[in-house]
Amino acid sequence: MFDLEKAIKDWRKTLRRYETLEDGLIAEIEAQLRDTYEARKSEGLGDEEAFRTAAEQVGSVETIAAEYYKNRARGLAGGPPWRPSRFFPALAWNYAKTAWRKIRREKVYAAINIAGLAVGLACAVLTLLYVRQELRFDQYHARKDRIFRLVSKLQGASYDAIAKVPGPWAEAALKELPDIERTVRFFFLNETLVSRGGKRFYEEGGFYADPSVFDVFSFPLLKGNPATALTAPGSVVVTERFARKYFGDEDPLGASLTFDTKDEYLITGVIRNVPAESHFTFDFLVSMASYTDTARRDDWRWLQFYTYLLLKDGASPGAIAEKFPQILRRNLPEPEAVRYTAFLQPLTDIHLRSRLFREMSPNSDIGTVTIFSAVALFILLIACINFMNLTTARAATRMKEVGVRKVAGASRPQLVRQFLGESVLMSGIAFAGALGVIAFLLPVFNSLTARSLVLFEARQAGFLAAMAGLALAVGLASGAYPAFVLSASKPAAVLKGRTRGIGGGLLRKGLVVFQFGVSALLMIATGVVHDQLGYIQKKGAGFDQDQLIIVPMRDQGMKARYEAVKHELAGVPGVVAVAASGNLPGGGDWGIPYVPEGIPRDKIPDIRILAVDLDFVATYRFGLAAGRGFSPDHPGDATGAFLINEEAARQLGWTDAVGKTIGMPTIQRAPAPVVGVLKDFHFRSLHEKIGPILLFIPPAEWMTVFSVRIRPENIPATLAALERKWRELDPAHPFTYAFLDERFARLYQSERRMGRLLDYVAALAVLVACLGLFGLATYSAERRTKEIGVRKVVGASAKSIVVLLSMEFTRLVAAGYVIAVPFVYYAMSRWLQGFAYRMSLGPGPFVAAGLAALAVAWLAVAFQSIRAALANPTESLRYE
Amino acid sequence: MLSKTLMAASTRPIILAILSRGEDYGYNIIQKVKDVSGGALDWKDGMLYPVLQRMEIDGLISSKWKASGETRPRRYYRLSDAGRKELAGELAGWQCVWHAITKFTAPLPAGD
Repeated sequence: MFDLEKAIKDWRKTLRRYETLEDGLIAEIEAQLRDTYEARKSEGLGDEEAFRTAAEQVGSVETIAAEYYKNRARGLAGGPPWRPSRFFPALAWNYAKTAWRKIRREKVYAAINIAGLAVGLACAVLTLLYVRQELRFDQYHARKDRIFRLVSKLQGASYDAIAKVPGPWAEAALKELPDIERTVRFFFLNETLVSRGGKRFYEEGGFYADPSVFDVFSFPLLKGNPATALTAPGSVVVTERFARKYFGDEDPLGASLTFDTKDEYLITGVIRNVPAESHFTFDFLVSMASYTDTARRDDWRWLQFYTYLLLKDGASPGAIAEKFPQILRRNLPEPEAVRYTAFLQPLTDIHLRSRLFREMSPNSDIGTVTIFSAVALFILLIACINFMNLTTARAATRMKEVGVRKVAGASRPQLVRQFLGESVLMSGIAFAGALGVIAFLLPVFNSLTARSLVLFEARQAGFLAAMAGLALAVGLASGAYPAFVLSASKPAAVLKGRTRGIGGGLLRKGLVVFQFGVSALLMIATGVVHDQLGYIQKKGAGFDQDQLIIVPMRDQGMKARYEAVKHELAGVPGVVAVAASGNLPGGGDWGIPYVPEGIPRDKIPDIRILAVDLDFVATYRFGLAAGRGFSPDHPGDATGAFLINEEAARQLGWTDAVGKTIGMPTIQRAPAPVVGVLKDFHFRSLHEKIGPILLFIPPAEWMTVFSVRIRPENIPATLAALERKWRELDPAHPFTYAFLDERFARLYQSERRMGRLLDYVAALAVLVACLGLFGLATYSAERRTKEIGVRKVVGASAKSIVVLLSMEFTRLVAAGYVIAVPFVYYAMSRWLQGFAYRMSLGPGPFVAAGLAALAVAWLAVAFQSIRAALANPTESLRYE
Repeated sequence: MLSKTLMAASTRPIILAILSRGEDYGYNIIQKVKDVSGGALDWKDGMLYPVLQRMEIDGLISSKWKASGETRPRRYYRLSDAGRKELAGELAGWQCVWHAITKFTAPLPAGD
């Protein structure tokens, strides 16, 4: 018999299962059910049938309960509690706790792991920032693909190719080659005293430039008309920075500046500052029309103009270059035209792929950029692999946790998420750490590379995102192993203590070999670079560079009375000797045609001219190979004597050079005897072979600079005294000076920079490798705790165990070193070939780096080995 | 039959409309809807109650249990002022929709 009340009671029970259905709500729905039941009965249905249809009419209890839940939980995430969820908010806290406990309990591992990855990421980010900037050089010019630099080669010259060509080239090329649209020439403006009102500064950053500069290059004019700004003589276009220096917030356009206290220049335009990513830079441009020495400007032999060509769309630089010899032959006499070849360089290649003689400013080279990117990527790779390696190695100790979680009902996807989350958390911390490291290192890095790199700027956003993505990927990859392998383990086996060891031993060993190989390579390279720089310093220039200061003559009038000024300066206390000259070793070199006795015209070697005075040889303390130097005791030297160096004697084929005669017809010097031969000295850097040099005493107006040798004691007082004296001698121009040895040091700037950068990079590589090794040693010692216990019980000494554990890694480190040596030997031999004078590549740096690698490896391993060896075996064997 | 979305959208305005004529309880509301629509508006009875609860939470209606002698106790719902306002808004909205639909489906005037 159907019992309505029992049926309703049962139905009510199904409602009570849902916590959202409170009693009041159930009563309401029950009333609904009863009303419907009565209605069905009155329609003539039987008891049971009426109840069934009424209950059906009410609908799915579960759905109703879910609807009520939504009312209650609106704003909360997730569905009703009885519906299985993929995410348990309550467990998330547990995961966080587990992860945090793991980090705390294994502080050392966590620190090593995070620090290693952070350093690796930081290193990669820094280097890639640098590399990105290098690759962006000159890319901002809108017509960059059509701009080429015209450069030249001269047969028999001491250099390979020079970045400049004679002045008339540009016009001839434009006239005769229809594929050239525009040309623009730059010519260095000598250091100039610029003044406006009370503001006076020596300015080095100026060029003479053709008016077409704004048609060819993208230097946008903020003020002024690009078409006319540089057409008239006496006009100057300045950068914003330069304008601010002299005018502050005033409008500089139309104002005038005084150059060298006498020439008035009218400001006809203001341009944006030249971007740092330019192979040349300037603060102001003076119109080429202001350059008055037209004889030199139109001389086909005077190689002083940096010349850029803008080709027409689709023009072939190769085809244009083929026509150069014709132009040359038309403008130069036959023998010279043949000696001389011109070729084109794409603008965007100049910064990284051009190392010509007399570049506008020192360039980088693509080799260095490639090496640094490779090294950075290596370090990053090592750091990433270390991170994964350590994470997976440590995961083995968590088998029991996995077992317990599984027994408690954790599903596999849950475990996978837990492990992935943990490793991503670690890599996330590492990324944050890397940003901190970068923020700290960027200023150091900038001063090392002489750049002004910025990390946090809009155009780096994509790059930073990529790096964050990389960190995330490393986190995921290193979490993947424990996530997928451990979560698959059988809880029963794990909890009974039957854990499967984690393999991959060979891979780990290979890794240690690889990282120590890279570290050894970098250490050796660093050693070689420093040794060569030391060699340069020791070898010196061939004369006494120390305590020699250079004081340029500023006042044109001073040239005529330079002897008197010299005398005044020599009287200043602390001054040993003073000499005047037209040019200097380490600075610009001059070429003047000369006629040596008995040598046919076409066999005369190219020679560098050093235009000096009677005191120069004594002041510089050049060594003498034969004869005597110029001297005030022989006043006739001023017009009737020459000096050459040993190399010049060799090239001229003069075994006994003293007494041979040389003439200089172009400057009206009749043949005069060579009075002495100087020992070879370095005119420029040790990259260049010592070339032949000819010294003579020019007319007074050729003099440009004093060289003052001072006593090593109390240099500041001497400098102050010199400055006071200078103010008496030339009140219009401030006293400026430079130390010659510093000028020479600047010739090795890029090598020094590379050396210092290598120091850091090598240190980082070694650090990361050691962190990895330390982690692995710790892991290994821990895994072998029982083995060590047994060994000790059967009588092994602590010492023998330390040796056992250390040897394992020593072999790997040694293998890495052995593999690295041939690579680095080859690379460094090639680097040294860039120096005409170089040390021999001895075993020194190799031995030192090997010992250092071993020492740091032992240090990294020692701590763990000793701890493991000293542990009481009862500790490790207690549970057997 | 109405589409699911239209059912969902219309439930609340219909309840509001029914309650605008005075307080009522769940079973009765369902019956009125069925009668008026000739069965086209076929609600699963149980689904009405969560909607009523939601509307009460939103302050559109209020409820009170009442037992009147011979019948069993029932929860009666009554429109609040906010509910009245809501109904006016809904009415305007639905009229607007109705106007738009009829306007576009009406035959176009002939001739020019």
